[in-house]
Amino acid sequence: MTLLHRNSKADTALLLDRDAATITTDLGPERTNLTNVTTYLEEDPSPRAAIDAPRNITIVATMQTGWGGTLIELGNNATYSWRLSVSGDEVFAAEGGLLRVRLPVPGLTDSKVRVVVHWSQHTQGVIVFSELAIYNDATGQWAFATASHSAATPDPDDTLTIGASFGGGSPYSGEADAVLAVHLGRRFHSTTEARQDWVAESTPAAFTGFDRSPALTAAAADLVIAGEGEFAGPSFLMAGAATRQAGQRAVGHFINLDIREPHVELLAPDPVRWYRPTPSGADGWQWCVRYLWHGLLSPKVNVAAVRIHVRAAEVTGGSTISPVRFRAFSIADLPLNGGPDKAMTYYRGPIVSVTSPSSAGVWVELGTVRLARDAEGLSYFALGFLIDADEDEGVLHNTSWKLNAITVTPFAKDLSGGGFGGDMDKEAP
Amino acid sequence: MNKYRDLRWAFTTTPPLETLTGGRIARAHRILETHRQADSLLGNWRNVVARVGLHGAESFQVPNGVMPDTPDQVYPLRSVSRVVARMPPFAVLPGHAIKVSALYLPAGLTQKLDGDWQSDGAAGRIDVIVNFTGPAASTKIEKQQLVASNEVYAGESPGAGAAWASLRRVEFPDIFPAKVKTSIADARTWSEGCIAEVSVLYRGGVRCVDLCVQQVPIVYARDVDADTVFSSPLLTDPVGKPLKAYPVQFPIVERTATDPTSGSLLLADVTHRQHTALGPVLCHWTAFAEDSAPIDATQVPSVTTTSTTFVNMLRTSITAHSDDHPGMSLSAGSMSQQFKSSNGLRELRGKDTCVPVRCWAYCSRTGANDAYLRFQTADYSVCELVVTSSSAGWVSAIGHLRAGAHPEDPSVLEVFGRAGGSSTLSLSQVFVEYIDA
Repeated sequence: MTLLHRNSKADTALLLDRDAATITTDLGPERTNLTNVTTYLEEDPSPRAAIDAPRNITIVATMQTGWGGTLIELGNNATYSWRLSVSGDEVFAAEGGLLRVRLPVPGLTDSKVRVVVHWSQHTQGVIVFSELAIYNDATGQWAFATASHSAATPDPDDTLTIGASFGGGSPYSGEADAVLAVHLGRRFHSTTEARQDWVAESTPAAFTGFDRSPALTAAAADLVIAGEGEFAGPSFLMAGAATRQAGQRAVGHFINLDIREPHVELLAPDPVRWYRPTPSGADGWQWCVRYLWHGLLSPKVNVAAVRIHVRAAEVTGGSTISPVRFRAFSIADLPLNGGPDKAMTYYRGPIVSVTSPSSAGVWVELGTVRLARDAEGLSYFALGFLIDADEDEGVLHNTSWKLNAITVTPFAKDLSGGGFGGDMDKEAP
Repeated sequence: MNKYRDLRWAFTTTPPLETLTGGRIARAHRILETHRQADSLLGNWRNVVARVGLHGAESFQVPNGVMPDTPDQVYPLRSVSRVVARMPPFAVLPGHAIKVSALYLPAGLTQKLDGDWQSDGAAGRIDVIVNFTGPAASTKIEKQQLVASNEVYAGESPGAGAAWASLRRVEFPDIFPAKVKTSIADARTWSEGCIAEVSVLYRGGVRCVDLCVQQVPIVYARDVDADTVFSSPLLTDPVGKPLKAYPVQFPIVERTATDPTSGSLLLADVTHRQHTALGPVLCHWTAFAEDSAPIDATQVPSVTTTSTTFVNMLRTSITAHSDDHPGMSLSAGSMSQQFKSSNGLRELRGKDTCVPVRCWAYCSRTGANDAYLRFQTADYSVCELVVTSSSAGWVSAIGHLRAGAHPEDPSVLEVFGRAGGSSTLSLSQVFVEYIDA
């Protein structure tokens, strides 16, 4: 059985990986190997490499200072369609004789290192955007450059060469042996994808909400199953599935703030008129109008992930503070204009504490809080807090904290027994 | 023929898909249900576009209880507006209006110069100006006069917790060009391609705790015989509600050669468009700070740098991105990823997502050398803008930024800037919107 390379994707025109097979072996869906011309690799001609934007070219190669030459090229004895080359420790991405974007290799030394060069293009109307990213595997450094330009028309009669230009001209200093991997693709690959494919695959945080991922959709002109004479079912199934996956698509953040000049809070409220006890009545817990927000909520979300960036410190720089505790409150029918119209309702998130000082501040995960809202969808969010003064507070230390940033991101979650929390309808996974 | 969908109480209900899978008997109501869901999707969203307000600041810009007879100005003028937040010309979601709501404390004093500075009475007003472009140009200005304080020198109510007792909310009317709510023809004109550029201004002694600008769904309309772009299949009755029964006995691809409603072709186009063209505003930042903005500043004071290497524009001691730094987030973008660049199958294998965005900055630079701004959510995920003008204005660029695998997977957006030699880079607003790229 032929194993599918993890980076072989639907758009892949060519995939080489020295770690998986001989470098001439095409591990992509086309399975058409290149020719090894001793010091470089070749395919003559290479119509599959004659891809106009959107397009991806990734080459992983060994580099060191002073090395130069052509990394990969689609060209002939007079011109080239596109080319990635190195000179003066800098990578040049060019098409049809025009330099599109250039970028120094970060952290290059006179020792050989593995370097990922990622040149990917996407389009916006007639404009082509080139993104060039370079990763130094030894130092962990990334470099990035971008440019916009007109489209090019690659020549399908051109020859693909790797490790040199056409006919072995302008050979790369490390020759073909220095080429570790190559990917040519027929769509744009983001730098996020390049990192996942060629640097390290990440492990996302565990999540509790419904997973929403884009479905495969297509315009009717491209979707044969929606046309005359086709089975009626598949196109409706696709539409139904796609609509579900798009349910929270344009909800966005509820609160997403990088605080410009955060106030330093101390044990004593200042000014006292801005503070009130939290409605739970827990001793010492407070709300302050500094940390109060509001807005309309989507009917398709029932909880929110809450993160705050907090700098807790001892005011004179000491190493001990009293615990500073936080919890998120989602509120409906907050009393306004001097009196309650309706009974205020609220949900609380878990209590999370900061127990040690940090001059730079830390992100504090306040977990998920169920969202409260009135009949119109209006909701308030307040940050509850408490400096839980120990016996030395005000004697040996004075605890302070300030809010550097806050994000409250709503999403949909199965709260109990398959239901949607009773807020609106039932949401399916 | 114009048809419309009333979106005010619409939302999807995610019926079971099993009835549409193979081996089931085709039934008209199941086909109707897929249209109904697609017709309801635009009603799902209440996207927060921007916020401005107290937001963690030490004090309001407008003083509390200070005697107004002063040698220098300490209160704002009564009749001069101060810009506190701007939004660039962004794509409004189809069938949505701009909604603005503000939480505030009763307004404080204003001043006038008459020999020395004197009280000009307690007054406060919030103005929202929306320049709509797209199908046609239209400017809407909405003004809300705020309740004024009746305390001494129009100060804040004293006593523990008094601010909570005096807290008020003002809601602006839905802001949308033309007679969208009363004329289906107008609603049709503005349902697609609507661009809005929004400014929020304070006038007088405004004490705003939180002002929220949102996109809210109201109505979506199309001429089904003439229009070619649809974000809703419009299988609706004359009052904008979904039909109660599928109008034909068997599934059709289109109603007529010019009327695509009821058919599978339009449904495919709509779901594709909903899946690719539509997305939220992901973040906004204003340099306006209640406790430090000069009382006579009519524009938002900028943050600046003269560094010729990249520094965080809010905290210039930071020179490289880190998930540990404070910043905004693009995690909500995980809900608006695109299949072609970021689906959970082969492309990113469910390990992460990226979201196509247009990053905006309201900025300028002095001198002759260009400056650069970078929006970063990882050391490898960058969108770069070039600042070429010495006049403050909007600059934008398109990029694909890491957003995290889902809303519970954090992302940290930092904005870095570097000036050209012997020049200063100034930044007063940041904005990131989803774009189909």
